[in-house]
Amino acid sequence: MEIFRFFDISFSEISLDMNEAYKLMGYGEHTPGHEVLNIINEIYNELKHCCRPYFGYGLFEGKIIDKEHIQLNNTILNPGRLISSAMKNAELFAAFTATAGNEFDNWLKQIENQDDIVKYFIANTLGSVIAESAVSLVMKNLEQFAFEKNMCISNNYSPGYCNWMLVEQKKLLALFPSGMTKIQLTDSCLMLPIKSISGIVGIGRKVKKRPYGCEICKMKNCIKNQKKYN
Amino acid sequence: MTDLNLLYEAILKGKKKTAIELTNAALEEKADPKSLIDNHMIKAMEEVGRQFENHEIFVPELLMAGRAMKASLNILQPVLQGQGAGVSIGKVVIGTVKGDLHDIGKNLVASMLEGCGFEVIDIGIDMDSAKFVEAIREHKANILGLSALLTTTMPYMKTVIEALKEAGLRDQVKVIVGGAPVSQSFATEIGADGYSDTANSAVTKVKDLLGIL
Ligand code: B12
Repeated sequence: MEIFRFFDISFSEISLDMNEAYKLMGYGEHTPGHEVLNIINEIYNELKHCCRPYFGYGLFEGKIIDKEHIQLNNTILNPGRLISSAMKNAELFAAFTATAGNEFDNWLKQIENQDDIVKYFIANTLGSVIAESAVSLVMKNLEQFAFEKNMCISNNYSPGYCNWMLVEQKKLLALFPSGMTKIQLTDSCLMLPIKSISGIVGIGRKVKKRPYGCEICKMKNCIKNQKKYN
Repeated sequence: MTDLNLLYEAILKGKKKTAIELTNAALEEKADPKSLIDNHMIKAMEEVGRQFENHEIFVPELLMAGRAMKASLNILQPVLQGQGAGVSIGKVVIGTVKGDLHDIGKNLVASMLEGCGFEVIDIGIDMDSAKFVEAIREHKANILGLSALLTTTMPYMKTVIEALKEAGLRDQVKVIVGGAPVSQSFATEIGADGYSDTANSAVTKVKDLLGIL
């Protein structure tokens, strides 16, 4: 089996989690004051015209080969122990990409050249939240797909997380027909457009969503963990 | 006479336009630029730093203050240079290392340093060691700031430090490292001179390294 589904949506179709945005801006559980909210709104309105998020996934048959390796079609990935065990009982695997898009990158470059660090900072963080919100849409879509088949989905895991080497991004993106993801890899295995996220999800009747990220992460300096460690 | 407390207030509250107007007015009244900076503007940035540490203000407000400070400094710089003095208290080259594109934290550190009177050359993201060496040579920087957010790119900081040694520049620059996965012990291990986990403490650390605290 090989199914590919990609979605080209308008900015207004993506529901940005503004609380996530405020967190990334360093507000923790606080909300910005009027002045900053005005700047955020201004940028938000600009974004409506120059951001086309794009996301999607491929579904692959596969299996967990051993404690560290997973096979998707003929590709053997090495996401490491933590991620492989989180995929336990998966009958199907989804590889996904989500991006705020090239238009966003170009727009952000223009903002950078305006030499206004406040605007650039807020625009930059909003771009990250757009990419993350696009991942949420991938997950919603996969959940619906799994639900119809009486299945569950795991969390999403990306190269770079939990010791999954970034170079594996090459193998992951090669699972898609050329041009489909609208993402390119640099020599150092980074994705362009910059505001992009890639990863995998396990799907199966006995798959469980294990706590991930903020729940188990021990990264003390992480902006999202401020509450836990302060 | 311009009330210079208002300049302090304008920077503290991040009012760029007001800061520019007041700086220009003070200059017209022949105020000493060095004294404007030392006795009012830097004092305001110190208070901004204190409020930030106490969670009374947050990153965007911090940046707004930095933006106002920079605008005023830009006006004072030519005047000071005309008098044979420089505004910059140090030259910093900063960038995100090869294989990494996370730049939000790096940008914050850069603008805080700038707001506090450093000249900052931000060379961007995904930078290899040759680019860092080149920038330090070209700008004769005395501080190098390295940022990495991925555990896989952290080791590259060591590569950059080695490249500095090879280029014979290691004694010329103090290296400060940062980024969420970086720690003091990692910094020590790779032979960096300093580490900091917030933009604010980065300024203190850099001043400390240069002996200007
Ligand atoms: C925002 C973000 C993104 C954005 C990028 C935005 C950008 N332009 O920077 C997006 C969504 C695009 C993204 C993508 C990816 N990301 Co990312 N991202 C983050 C996130 C959520 C926040 C980083 C951030 O901006 N924090 C806020 C700033 C203010 O904090 P900071 O960077 O730590 O900086 C402070 C200090 O560290 C310090 N500091 C920083 N630099 C310096 C330098 C000096 C000199 C000094 C003194 C101090 C200093 O001062 C700063 C200010 O206080 C982190 C998780 C986290 N919370 O750290 C993951 C994270 C860094 N990402 C991660 C990964 C793996 C990726 C991807 C590779 C995943 C993938 N395969 O899709 C992709 C790569 C994209 C690509 N194009 O190739 C992982 C890294 C894992 C690891 N430890 O190796 C993290 C930790 C997430 C995770 N759950 O594991 N990411």
